[in-house]
Formats: sequence, C-alpha cells, structure tokens
Amino acid sequence: MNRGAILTRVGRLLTVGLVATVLLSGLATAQNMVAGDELVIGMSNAQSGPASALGQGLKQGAMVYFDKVNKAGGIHGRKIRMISYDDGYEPRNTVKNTQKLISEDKVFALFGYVGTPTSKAILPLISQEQIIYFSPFTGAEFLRNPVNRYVFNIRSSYFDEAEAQIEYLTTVAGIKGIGLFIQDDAYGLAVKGGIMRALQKREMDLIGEGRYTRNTLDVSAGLNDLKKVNPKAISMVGTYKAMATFIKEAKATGYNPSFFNVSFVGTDALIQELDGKGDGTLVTQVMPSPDDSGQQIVKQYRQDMGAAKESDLNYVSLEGYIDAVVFVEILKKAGRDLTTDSFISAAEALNYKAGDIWFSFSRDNHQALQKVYITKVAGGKAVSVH
Amino acid sequence: MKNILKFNSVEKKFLLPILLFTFALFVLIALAGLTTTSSLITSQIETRGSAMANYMAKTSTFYYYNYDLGALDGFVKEVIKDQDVVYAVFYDEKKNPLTISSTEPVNKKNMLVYEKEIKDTTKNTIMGYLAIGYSLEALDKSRNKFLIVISLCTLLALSGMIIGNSFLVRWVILKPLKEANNVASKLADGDLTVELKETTRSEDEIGVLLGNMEHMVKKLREIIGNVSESAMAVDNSANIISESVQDQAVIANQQSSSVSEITSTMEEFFASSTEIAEHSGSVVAIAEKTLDDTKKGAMTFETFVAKMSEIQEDNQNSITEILELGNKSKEISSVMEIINNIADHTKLIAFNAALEASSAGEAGKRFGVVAAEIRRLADSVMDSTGEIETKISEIQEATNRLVVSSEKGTKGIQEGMEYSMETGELLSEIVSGADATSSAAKQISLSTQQQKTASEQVVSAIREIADGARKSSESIGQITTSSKSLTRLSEELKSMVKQFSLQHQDPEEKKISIVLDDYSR
Repeated sequence: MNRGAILTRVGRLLTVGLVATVLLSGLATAQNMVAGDELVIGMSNAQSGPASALGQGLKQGAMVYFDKVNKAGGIHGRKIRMISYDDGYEPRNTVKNTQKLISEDKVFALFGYVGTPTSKAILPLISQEQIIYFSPFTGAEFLRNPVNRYVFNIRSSYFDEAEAQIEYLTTVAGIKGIGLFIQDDAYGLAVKGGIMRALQKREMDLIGEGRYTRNTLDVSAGLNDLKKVNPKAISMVGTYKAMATFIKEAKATGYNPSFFNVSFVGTDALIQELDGKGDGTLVTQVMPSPDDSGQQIVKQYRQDMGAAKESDLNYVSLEGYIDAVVFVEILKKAGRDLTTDSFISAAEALNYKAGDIWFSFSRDNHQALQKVYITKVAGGKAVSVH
Repeated sequence: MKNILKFNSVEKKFLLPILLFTFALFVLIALAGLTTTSSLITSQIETRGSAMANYMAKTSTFYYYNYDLGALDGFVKEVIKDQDVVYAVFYDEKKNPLTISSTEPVNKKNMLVYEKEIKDTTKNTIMGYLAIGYSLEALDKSRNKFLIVISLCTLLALSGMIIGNSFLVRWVILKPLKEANNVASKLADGDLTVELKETTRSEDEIGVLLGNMEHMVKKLREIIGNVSESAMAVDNSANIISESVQDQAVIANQQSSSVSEITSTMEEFFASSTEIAEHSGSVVAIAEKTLDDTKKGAMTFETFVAKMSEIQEDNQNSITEILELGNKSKEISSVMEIINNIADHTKLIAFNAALEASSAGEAGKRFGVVAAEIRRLADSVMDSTGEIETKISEIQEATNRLVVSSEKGTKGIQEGMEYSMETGELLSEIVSGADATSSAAKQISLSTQQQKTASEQVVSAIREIADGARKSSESIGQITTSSKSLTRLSEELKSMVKQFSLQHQDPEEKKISIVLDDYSR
C-alpha cells in the first residue's frame, strides 16, 4: 500500500472514532450527565380537554420563572429549556409523550406533570430510565410512599388534604354524615384512601359514594346515588368542569350540603365554572393564596407575573411558579457538575426558606411542603377559613 | 318397512345388543372423561384461583395499611387481564367495595368465587376482604369439545359395529348353517335319505351341530323303520279287540234291561208299603189322641165328684148354722120380754112420779116434766121392743123356710153323687178300651215300618245291581271307543310312516312297500 492509502485509512478510522465518541457522549448526556450550556427538561400534561386549565396554568407559572432565570444568565451558565407536550390528562398519551421526551428529546428531568393516573402510568418508566420526576401536580400517596429516589413532590399529599377536610368537617362544621364523589380512576381512589384513613381514625364511615368518569361531565348518576343517602357534606375528588357541573346540578335540585374539594380541582377554574353559584364551596389548598401579598413568595410571584404581562393570577400558576423556584434552587445547590445523582443529593439536602414557607427534602422524605389551607368560595374568590 | 324392525335374522339379533353395548360403553367413557376433565379443569382453576387470591390477599395488606386504593385498583386491573377472571374486588371491613375497575356481578352462577380476609397481622383484625370470581367457561368449552369428540367416536364405533357384525355373522354362522338348513328342509319333506357333506366340517358349535344332525338322520331312519313294523302289529291287535268287545256289549245291554224291570217293580212295592206305613201311623195317632182325651175326661170327672162332696158338706154346715140362728132368735124373744117388763115398770114409776109432782105443785113442776119424759121414754122402748118382736118372728119364719129348702138341696146332691158314681165306672171302661186300641195300632205301625225298611233295602240292592250293570256297559263302551281309536291311530301311524322314504327307491323295495300298504288296509 502507498502512504496515501494508509493515511486515508487512518483518517477513516479517526473519523469513525470521533463520531463514536460524540455519540457516546450524547448517550451519556441523556442518562447522567448534563453537558453543554443547555438544560433540557420535559413536560407532558393536560394542555387541552376538561383539565387543560391545570396543565396550562402550571406551564405558565413555571415558564415565567424560568424565563426570568434564563434572562439573568441561567444556572451555572446553563439556560433552561422546557419541552412540553399535551397528553390531555390521558395516561396512554402521557406514556407516549414521556417515551419521546426520554429517547428523542433526551431531557434531563421530567417536570410539572399533571394527574394521578398519568403519573401512575409512567412511574415504571421513571424507575427504569432513572430520570428525575419533579413536582407533579398531584397529591398521590404512591409518589411519596414508599420514597422513590427519582420522584420529588413539592405539594402536600392528598392524605394531608383529606385529614384537613375531615378535621374541619367534624370539629368546625360538626357534620357526621359525610359522602364521597370521586373520579372513577386512580385519582379518585387515591384521595378516597386518604378520606377513609381520616374517617377511620375518627371511627367514622362514609355514608355514601358517587362516581363519574374522567374527562366527562356525566355527574348525574353519582349525584343521585348520593342524594339517596343525603349526606350533610360531600368530599369531592375531580376536576373543575365536572365538579362545577355537580355543584350546580345539586343546588338546582335543592340539595345543598357542604361541598369540599381538593386542591387538584383547579380552584380558580372551578370558581369560573361555577359562575357565581359556588358560594360556600370549600377547597383545601396546598399553596398559599395568590392574593396573599403578605407571603414573600406570593409577592415575588405577583411581581414576576406582572413583569411578564400575565394578568391571570391563580393557584395553579402560582404552584407552577413555586415548583420552578424550588427546581432552580436545587440546580443552584447541585453546581455545574450536574448529574441525576448530584441533583438528588442536592435536593435531599435542600433547606430553602421563602418567607415563612420552608421547602426541604430528605432521604426519607421527598415532599417539600406539609401545609394544607382551607378556603371557601365567597364572592367569586377563594377566601381563607380558619 | 316393518320387516326391517322384525328380529328375523341372526344378524339383527346380534346387532341390537352390540349397538346397545357399544353405545352404553361410549356413554360411560364420555361420563368418565367428562368428570375427569371437569375435575381436572376445576382443580386447575382452584389452584390458580386460590393461589392468586392468597397472593393478592397477602400483598394487598401493605396497600390497606397505606390506604393506597389506587394500588389496590391497579392490582385488580392486572388480575382481570386473565380471561378466566370475571371480577375481582377489594372491600373494606364493612364489605363496601374499595376498587372500581371491576364490579361484583349479580349472577354468580357458573363461577368459582374466592373470598379472602385481609388481616392486619399485628392487631389480628380484619382490614378488608378480597373476592375473585373465576369463570368456568373454560370448563364448559372443554366439556362441549369433549362431548363432540365422544359423539363422533360413538357414531364411528356404531357404524363399525354394524359392518363388523354383519360380516362376522355371515362368515362364522350363516355359511355353515346353510348346510344344516339344507338338511333340515329335506328332513321336513320326509326325505330321510339325505346325507351331510364331510368337507365343510369345522370344530365349533356349528360343526358339532352338523355332526349331530347326521347322527339324528341315521337314528331317525332306524326309528321310523321300527315304528312302521310296530304300527302293523298294533293294527292287528286292535281289530281282534274290537270284535270281542262288540259281543260283550250285547250281553251287557240285555243285563241292563232285566235289571231295570226288577227295579221298577220294587219301586212300586216300596211306594205301597210306604202308604200303609203312613196310614197305620195316622191310626196310631188317633188312638193315642182318644186315650188322651178319655184320660182327661176321667180326671175331670173326679174333680167333679170332689166338688159335689164339698157342696154337700157346705150345705150341711148351712143347715146347722140356720138352726143355730133359730135358737138365737128365740133367746132374743125372751130378752125382749124382759125389756118389755122393765118398760112397763118404768111407765108405772113415771106415772107415780107425775102424781107426786103434781102434788108438789110449783116445786114439782120440773120433776113432773122429768117424769113425763121418763114415761115417754118407756113408751118408745115398748114401741121399739114391739117392732123387734115382729122382726124376730119374721126371721124365724125365714129361717124355717131356709132349712126346708136346704134339706131339699141336700137330697138333690145325694142323687147327683149316685149318678156320677155310675158315670165314673163307665169312663174307666172307656179308658181301658182306648188303651187297648192304641197298643194294637202301634203294633200295626211297627210292622208296616219294618216292611217299609225291608223293601227299601231291596230297592237299594237292586239299584246297585243296576249301577253295576250300567258301569259295565259304560266300560264296554269305552273299550269299544278305545279300540276304535286304536284302529284309527294305527291307520294314521301307517300313513305317517308312508311319508318317509327310508331307502332310496329301487324296484325291489317298492314291492315290499306295496305289500305293507295292503296289509294295513
């Protein structure tokens, strides 16, 4: 062979080697290491459908903060890019989207998902791919207990909300006959579990139960089931459109017990759907009121929303905002050398105080907050109840 | 069409039991198979089901502790992926369903349901229940499949049996039997010359049958030959008997008629002696009655005499009494006189008293009244006594008259008694006369009775003779009949024997048979 040929051969080998290295490094990025100046995170939630307010609100709040951070130069020189897909609050779609996010988009973490059944559907995938699942908009117990290394929750659990509800109903409202209206899927069951736990702690029982199907408004059957038993309070587990339909229909037929929702309902969307007929409806909240400027983080939220020309201030976007804040704090703590493991270590060492709200994780606790607030709808707003 | 259903062939006779047996056998197999497969499948489902239920019950305790209803529901979703699982539900301790992905159906037929308690092992309380329902559809499917297979096999077997049966019967039974049939039909026609072929003799029962048939034919030939000879001998004897019996019959008839005559005479005699007996009987009766009556008469008479005596006595007594009465009235008369005297005296006293009274003046007025009264009283006494005297006279007269008539009566009675004595004697004579008559009549009666008895005995003896004669007549009649039948039978026998050809007909034999015919008449 002549020299030319040899060189060509060497050249070819080198090219192949280089390409291989690049590819391999690319692989490494997806699993463990973040390289480069961009941190890509993925979101798949309800951007359409009867739960769209939740997905959209979450995204909006988070984006406001991420944009602010990026404008300020990012974290450790990295800008955050969020890829978001719509799963319409259907677990099948969530799985597909997540697979795409992981394998194609190669995101570092999954952020701001919405829903219990959706989370449940991708949980195996998370454990399998060993990817961070951050601040899902759900209080499901299985994301908190047993502690999944990769799952980080900000909000209080449904069990906490259920306990607060039952405590209020029994001690403050003095109601003994409590019924349940749930979405007939993992979300409904997740909260039902909490309600039953709270009731059984007090040696009480549910006196009736009604159900409806996710992403529908077929609440009449469930309402009738409950009317037969006539509870004085109904704990409701659903999304804003369906719950509003239920409350309006009940009131229209002269049936007016205490209606108690959990935070997942989407408080502001619920009030809007209730169209002035919702006064007296109770909602447990896991975030401070977006109107409570006294809270440091709320004030910050309001300022940033205003700066971003966003006028729709509501619980859900506040939560998205707060989720983003905590995420960024962890990134700050993890440093430039960002891997999944370093993220986890940083998170579990987190001790971030925003005003008098304290966010912390530990090895045994992947739920940052524990607080539950009770609010009541009055004059088109959710008002705090003590 | 009807012929197909009749059992007119061996093939058909075999066919029905074989088909029944085959059918029954396959039914048994089917049942056995069904039960086995059923129990296999059921036990499979059992093991699977109970294993699954156990596993779920154990693993769900963790979810119960944590109130993770979502996880329980996820469990349910997994379990119902199994096609055999109809439903799976987790319940709380009050049996309210906790899961929603599967509901308990109302109709739990055709299902195996496993219920398990989910216990809190530390507190040993029941946290809830689990129910899984397994469908036994798989069982039904396999059962149906099995039934179809078995039915097909049964059909195949039955057709096989029909064909096989037909073939076997023909080869083993019918073919060899044809030979036997042949021989039998020849025999039926009377051809005892028939012989069986030796070539197709097998060693089974049919072969034995054919062998026996051959023996039978040989024996028959022998026997028929013997019978023929005997028939001829019988015929002879029958004729002889017939003749002698006819003679006897005549004699018996004669006997019979004589006896009849005697019998009728005796019967007449018997009838008349019976009459006499009857009459003498009635004479005796009359005599007896007469005796009886006269005895009664005698008795009555005695009673009459006794009564007469009694009257006589009474009469005497009356006379005595009357005389007494007469005396007594005389006594009364004397007493009357005394009373009269007293009355008289009293009257005098009274008169004196009145005088004294009048002389006493006023003081004696009362006394005078008394005296007047006393005088009146004495007057009335005297009146009364006077009446009494009159009456007594009347009585005395009457008594006298009475005595006279009584004495008259006594006389009459005396006379009567004398007459009755005479009558009494007459009656006694009559009695004794009647007695004698009675005895005589009895004697007559007795004699005639004896006569009657004797004649009875004669009549019965003669009857017996008549009977005997009749019986002997009958026997003779019977013998005649028998000998006639005998003759007839021997004729029949001969004609029957003629039907059989015992040897193959060659001219020599024919001659002999013709002679036999003549002899038998």
